[in-house]
Amino acid sequence: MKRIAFSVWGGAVHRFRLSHLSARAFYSTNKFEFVVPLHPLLLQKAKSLRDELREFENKMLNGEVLNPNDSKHFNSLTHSVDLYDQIEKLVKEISELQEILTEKDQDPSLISEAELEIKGVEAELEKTAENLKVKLLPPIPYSDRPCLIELRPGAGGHEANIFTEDLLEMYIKYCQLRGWASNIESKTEHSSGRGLVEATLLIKQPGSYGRMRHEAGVHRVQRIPETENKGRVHTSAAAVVVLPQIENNNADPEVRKFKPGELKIDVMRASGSGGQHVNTTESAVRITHVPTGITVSIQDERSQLRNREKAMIILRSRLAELELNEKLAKEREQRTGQVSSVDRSDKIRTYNFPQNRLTDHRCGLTLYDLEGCLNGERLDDVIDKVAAKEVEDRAADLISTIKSQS
Amino acid sequence: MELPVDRWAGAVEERAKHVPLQYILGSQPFGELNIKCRPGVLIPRNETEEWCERLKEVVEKIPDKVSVVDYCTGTGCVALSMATLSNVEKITAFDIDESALRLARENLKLNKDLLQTPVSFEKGNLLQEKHPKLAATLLLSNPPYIPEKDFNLQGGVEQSVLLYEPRSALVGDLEFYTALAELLRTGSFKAFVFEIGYREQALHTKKLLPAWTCGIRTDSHGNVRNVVGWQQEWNALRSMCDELL
Repeated sequence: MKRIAFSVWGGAVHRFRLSHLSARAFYSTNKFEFVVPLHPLLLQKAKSLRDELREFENKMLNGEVLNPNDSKHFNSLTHSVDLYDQIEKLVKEISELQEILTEKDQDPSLISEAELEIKGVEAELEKTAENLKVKLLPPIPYSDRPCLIELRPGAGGHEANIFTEDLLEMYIKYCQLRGWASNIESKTEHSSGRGLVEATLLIKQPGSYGRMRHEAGVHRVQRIPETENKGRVHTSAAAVVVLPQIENNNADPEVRKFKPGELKIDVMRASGSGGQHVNTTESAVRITHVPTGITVSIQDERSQLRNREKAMIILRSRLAELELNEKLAKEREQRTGQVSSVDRSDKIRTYNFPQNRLTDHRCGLTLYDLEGCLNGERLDDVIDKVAAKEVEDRAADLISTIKSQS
Repeated sequence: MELPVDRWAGAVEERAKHVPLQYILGSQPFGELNIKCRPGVLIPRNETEEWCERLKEVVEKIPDKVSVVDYCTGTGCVALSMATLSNVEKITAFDIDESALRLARENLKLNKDLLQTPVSFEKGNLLQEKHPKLAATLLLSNPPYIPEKDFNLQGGVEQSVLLYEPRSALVGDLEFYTALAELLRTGSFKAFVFEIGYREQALHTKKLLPAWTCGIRTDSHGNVRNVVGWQQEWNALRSMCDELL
């Protein structure tokens, strides 16, 4: 039995960029040889979930009824433990196959067959371990929600307005490709008729927030603007804000309740007697969330009440996003000496037209297929990479937390 | 959006002449309802929408079935808004004006998918000498409440209201609250909510109803907007009041 201490996980974090294969930790317990591409501490945690699950099962055997929160937790536990069991099974398969390899006077054709099979099982093992890793991380709040994408031009003048429109089209096409229903909630065109001053896209698909939140940040474009006659490349930018959509529905347990005084609601209306004296419909509403200072103004509808409802939906989304950012920042803080790689104020991606290149600065991915990205077809490749990088970073956080606790 | 392009120019001209936007577009949203508007019938106000929505929250939680009478119903907005609640079983709404009753019935049809309770619109004059005894739980009314002397620009009434909305739905004062109090004394009501424009109208109502607990509700612009009253079982209405009388 060989045992290789491959301590990638304990090292500096930049080494996490190593591929999963090289980051594989060889780990053995008793007669099992684990060849699991997962940090031993995470494996240990997964194993401990088994005991937790058993406790739950005992409770249920005793006739205890689980509350909705517990039953959610129970489902998640079951899923994690299933994955862990599957990993054990796959590891056993590998070790059995390896025995074939080490047998004396083994038939060479059998050896090559076994080697091939080992490769297949290893690939499956890697996928399962990756899934388990995601399951072990604390869940991202609201990731099962629909989302709102707000787009705004940044530096770069009119070119930024045009780029903002390009991004909106990219997301609409992406939704069409995935079969997600979307709706342009608001859109203000640039006075020239080309480009946008702002736009908000609602993606109604539940779970779209979990995916699209990776698009949040500053997107940078480098190209020769249509308006540039000397052929110089300009750099401009657009900001993408992604918010989870939360309805004003009191039946929803995740809906936040506001304390008296927490909200300040201003309705824009000329002072005076009001009531029967006045029939103008100045229905604009401004809601201020006093503790955070977040302000939402809406005047799209003729009904004050509907404007108020719309404003509340947006306010709830903004607060949820703020909450999530704080949670992630807290997780990051637990990692010592680590500069955050997902800082939202940074530019996250560059679209370079002269080189037909797209680079995502968070995961270091570069694709030479700008058109494929902008028509939504290859956006998934980028988001997959960014999501995987985030999982890696968060797994590192979790490991350092487990370490500091033990 | 709400008007075809070829009517935009005309609409702008009309609006410049102070024609109310609701008469030009022909409608006003009211809570979840869409209320048709026509010259000759008072336009539903934001303030009315506001107290109706607030009242719905209270009525919805009343454990018993609730029946409603709405006087001076106009477009029918208050009555129809109550008809969206599932524990309201019967609504009778009165108006003195035939054209208002016609419009109210059209609004009933227009919003029928949102309504849970039948509403009957009937002719009735609040100021008549004798009323039949009304058997219902909740009495609502948005009677004319601008005193004659205030029905001008100095009195805070907008040009558009003075020029285009029906005077009969606007000009009135304590006499209407006296009549409403009479309905309460002879009927079987347990609670009432009336819209008001002046504090005296609330004080007057309370004076006529010594046996009732009464309060004043202020709207979101800080103006007095309702006088609210209740018997024991409807204590929940207290939450609508900013001040008890």
